[in-house]
Amino acid sequence: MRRYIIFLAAIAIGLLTGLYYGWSVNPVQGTAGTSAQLRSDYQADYVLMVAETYRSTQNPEESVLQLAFLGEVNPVLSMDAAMTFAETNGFARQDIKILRDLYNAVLEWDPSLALTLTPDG
Amino acid sequence: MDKPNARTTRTAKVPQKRPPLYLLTGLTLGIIVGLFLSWVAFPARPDGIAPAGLTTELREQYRVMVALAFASSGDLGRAQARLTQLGGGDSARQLNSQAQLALLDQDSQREARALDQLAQALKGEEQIGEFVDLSNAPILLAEAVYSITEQQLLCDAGDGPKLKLFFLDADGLQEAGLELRLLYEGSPQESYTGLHPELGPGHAEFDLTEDQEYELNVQGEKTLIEIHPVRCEGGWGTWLLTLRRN
Repeated sequence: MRRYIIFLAAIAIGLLTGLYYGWSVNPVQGTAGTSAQLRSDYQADYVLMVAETYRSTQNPEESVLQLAFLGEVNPVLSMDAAMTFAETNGFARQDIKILRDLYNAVLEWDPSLALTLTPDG
Repeated sequence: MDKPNARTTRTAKVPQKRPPLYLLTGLTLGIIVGLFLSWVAFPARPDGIAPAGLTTELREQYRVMVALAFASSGDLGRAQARLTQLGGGDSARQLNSQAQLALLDQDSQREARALDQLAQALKGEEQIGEFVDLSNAPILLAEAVYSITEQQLLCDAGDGPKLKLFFLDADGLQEAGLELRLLYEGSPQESYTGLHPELGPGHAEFDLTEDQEYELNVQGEKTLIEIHPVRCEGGWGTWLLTLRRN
């Protein structure tokens, strides 16, 4: 009886090890993620990269194309989320400023983006 | 009588101590079932992933964005941190490979330069400082053969001011073999585009001297005038210009 219990315990330990390895250590490659599945901090950092680039290009159209990477139909949603994240997570004031500059530039370039903004995107 | 009996009992128990194969079998069985569940039946849902979890194509796009942001901000530390999030080992080599591929596409010449610039900065060949806003750029176009499509002043940690040029034809492809002559009070410097193939066929660069004013002739035509070396915080500036044939 004791041997059966140990056998079952070994199966359970093996099962947990297999699950941990398969889900955390080496998840199946076929499920590589899309950019829309990026964690919110990485999404915010991506928008920040677009904003940093915009500083030198001053080309909002190009920035909108770059923001499309994040998979939102309306880039304003990505920028809005990034600014909220930046403000609530202690981003540097300069970074928040350039995010805001990009936000304003995109809306100035295409004001209809603000009009199409709805709560559910 | 007691002692022999004890010996007999011990020797009788020894054959019963078998290696715990059932334990190994249980573990193996558990691992196999666990892997089946985690890889086949219920694979991990990539929700809230890091950039390293993106598909190869998306990771390349992300890397381009890191390079473009670096070209603008010159913040190498931040670029390095972002590249680390992408994973995959030698960032400089990956940037180089991607820059080579981007060079083949006429629409991605700027991305190629940004990727290459970041790769060089990572290798320590070029330490870029801060980006300087050039709303009042002192370099002027003399002839209408070329237009300046991109102009930046990069603050190098290098030992002197430089002029780096990229020439594109009307289709946006880099132009190799253009004869360039940089004129100033001393003897002119001559060069050709494409002498540094690793930087692209349309690339050329000149060392500048403090307190001189330069003029650039391309194929014998006066193209740029009033080129001044610029000193910026922590070193000399490198003019980075892209000229496209009209």
